[in-house]
Amino acid sequence: MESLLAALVRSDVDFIVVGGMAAALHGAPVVTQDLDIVHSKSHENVVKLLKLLKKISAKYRGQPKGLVLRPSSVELEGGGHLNLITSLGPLDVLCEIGEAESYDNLIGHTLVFSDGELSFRVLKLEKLIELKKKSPRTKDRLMLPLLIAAFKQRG
Amino acid sequence: MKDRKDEKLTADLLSDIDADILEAASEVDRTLITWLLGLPPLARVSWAARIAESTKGFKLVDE
Repeated sequence: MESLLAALVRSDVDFIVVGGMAAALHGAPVVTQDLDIVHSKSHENVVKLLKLLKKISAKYRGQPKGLVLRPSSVELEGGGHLNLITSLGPLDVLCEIGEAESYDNLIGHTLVFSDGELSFRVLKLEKLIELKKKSPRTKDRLMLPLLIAAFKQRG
Repeated sequence: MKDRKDEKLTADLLSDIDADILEAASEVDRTLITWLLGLPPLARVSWAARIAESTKGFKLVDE
């Protein structure tokens, strides 16, 4: 998972870490097997992201046996969610989250995390709570107590 | 003044959240949160992924 994050940073892709991994980065004891990101849909960024996705053999998860679907620039510029498996682990590339919020809407609600030479943007805990609060999905509601506990712990 | 502003922000953020969720939040063991926050960011990522991998089939929250 760290390799996937590092590959995105080293490929100079503009992205925001969201979802369970963002929660864990804020100290919420959430476990997750995939990395969720919202990417900038600028043409230049989509080209960089697609180049990386090809390099790490990204394909859609959950396809019928024998069917291999690869992500395309059209999908990366759209509004959907691309649930992928790559050679570095599962990656969910989200064009928008919540109520159609894209990278450009979310960038003001991020913090930069740095670890050694790697720096990357993570959605703020307050925004994560706001999104999960509005989500109708049970798994999001289950995450809320952990997010709130981390929020209160931070003080 | 800043404290009052922060308190209002917190109150706004936590409004509309069901009482049972707030109660569950108060019961979360914060020792683990403190421990996680003491790790470098990439180690937190590693922890979340490795625990998820080791508990496949027992996933509680995210997938």
